[in-house]
Amino acid sequence: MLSTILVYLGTGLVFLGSCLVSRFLAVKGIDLVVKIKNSVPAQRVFARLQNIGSADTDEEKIELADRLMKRFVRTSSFSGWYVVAVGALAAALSLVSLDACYFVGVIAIIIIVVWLQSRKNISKKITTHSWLFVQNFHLRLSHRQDLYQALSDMVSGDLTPLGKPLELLLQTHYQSNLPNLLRHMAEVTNLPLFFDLADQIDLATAGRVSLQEAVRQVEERSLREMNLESREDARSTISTLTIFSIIAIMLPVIVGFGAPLVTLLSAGR
Amino acid sequence: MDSNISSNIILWSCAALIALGVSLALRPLIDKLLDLIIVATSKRSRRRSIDSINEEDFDLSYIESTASHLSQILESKTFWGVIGLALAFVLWDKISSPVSIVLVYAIGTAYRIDRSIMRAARLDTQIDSLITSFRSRVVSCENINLALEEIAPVLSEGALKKSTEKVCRLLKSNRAFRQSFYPWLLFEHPMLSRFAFLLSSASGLAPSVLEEILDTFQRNQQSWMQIREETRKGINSVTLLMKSLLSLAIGALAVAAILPSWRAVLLENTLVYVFYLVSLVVMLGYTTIVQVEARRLETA
Repeated sequence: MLSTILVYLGTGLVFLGSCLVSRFLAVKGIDLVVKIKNSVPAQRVFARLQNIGSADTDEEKIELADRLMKRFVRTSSFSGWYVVAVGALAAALSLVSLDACYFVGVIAIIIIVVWLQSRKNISKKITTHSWLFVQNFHLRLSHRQDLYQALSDMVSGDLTPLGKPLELLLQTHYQSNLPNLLRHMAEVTNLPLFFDLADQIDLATAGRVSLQEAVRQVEERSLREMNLESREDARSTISTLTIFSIIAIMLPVIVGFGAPLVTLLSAGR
Repeated sequence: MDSNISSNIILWSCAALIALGVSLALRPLIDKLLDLIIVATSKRSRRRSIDSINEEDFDLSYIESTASHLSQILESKTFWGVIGLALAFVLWDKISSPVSIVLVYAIGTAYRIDRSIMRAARLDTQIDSLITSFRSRVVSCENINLALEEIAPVLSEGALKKSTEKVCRLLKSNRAFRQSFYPWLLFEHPMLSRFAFLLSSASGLAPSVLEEILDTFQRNQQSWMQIREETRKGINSVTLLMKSLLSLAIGALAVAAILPSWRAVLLENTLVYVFYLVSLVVMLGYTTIVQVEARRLETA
């Protein structure tokens, strides 16, 4: 009786899940067609961010900006806990059914690989966009020579996902204290780059360094970090591909040539 | 009974987790799909978004026509897929047909990676020369338009030269300054796009400030080029290894397909034959991964 209930409950859950997924797909599909028909590429990138909602008060604007920034730095849509749960379930299943364990095991491996890959890609995207943000800021500063004007200009021209949160934060009480605005961005995103930028601006305000020079230094540090990450990514990808090349190409040779060879040799003996 | 219930609970929790996983996985997949569609349609939409500019200014044929028809055919996935299938039909054999599809596709992948690396390296060099020439001219000309007009004729023949000439023409025709650099964006090259963005935002800047910005930009570009060069060497070593192993695989599997005793062992033992087919599927998956990763490293 209990097992029947569980079976129906499970079926219901899967059905509900597929309904939600279908709805999500349908809505996204319609959005996609509308966006592609009516917009230019940069607008399409921001359309998803702008659809989140409108904000009127300072608190709402800051909250919305925080949500956008957290979304930007979120390393993966896959939750780490989910990956652990699937792995644990695969292990538990091996005690009950070996066949099901193979199936779940394969899915678990695929999920883990996709998860690791997406973490790597997103981390690289964050570094690149952070550098583009500072580079853009440096350029605007060269034009305007004024901190507030440079940041305001960036809102219209910034093609990174940080442009929208910046626009929202500039509409709040943070506009009167720009280093604090950047520190707030640093706290939410956990990107040391913004702390660095805020500190350099403080130093420049105190007259200890020129603002241009301070921002240029942050840009260079950000670039170094990006280059380091690119090098590391290329190195790890190439070593993985090298190992994978040997395994994947030699596998048919081992099975198609090696296995008959061993069989023939043992039969001959 | 108890063990039956517990196994059912585990199986259904597993089904629910999988459903949750699929729904989570769909989101990045849709994002990827959106990005792919954006890339596929971007050239058209960029053209559409700038109504004030003549259609001929955004004619992409000069970028595509730089490769000959033969190279275009050789670089298409479909071509290698069709050759593999045709060979499989000609051979029509349980051992050599599946292997011919996979091996021909893998050889095609190695060839296409080599070609794309070579093309990208050539474009990088041309862009480097464009940036260096521009930097040296802009100091004497003190004007972006004039500097570009001076360097356009000295660039080596190719898509970049034609594109730069188009930029000059658009700048001359008093279009909005930002829009004039769109022909460069059509290359979807990270450094050229950044250079276009930099120049499009640089109108009205004092020459000394522009020079300083260009100096920083060129240093960034040089370090970026160096990383690209290192990455290319790595990818080249992977394709070289891939080609050597593929030659070995062709020889070994040809022996297995021709010699009767080898054929008999492979065909009579179902488990070995299934493993043989699975190993070919793994190899097919591998070629796709290599291709995707090489492209990712190249466009990063």
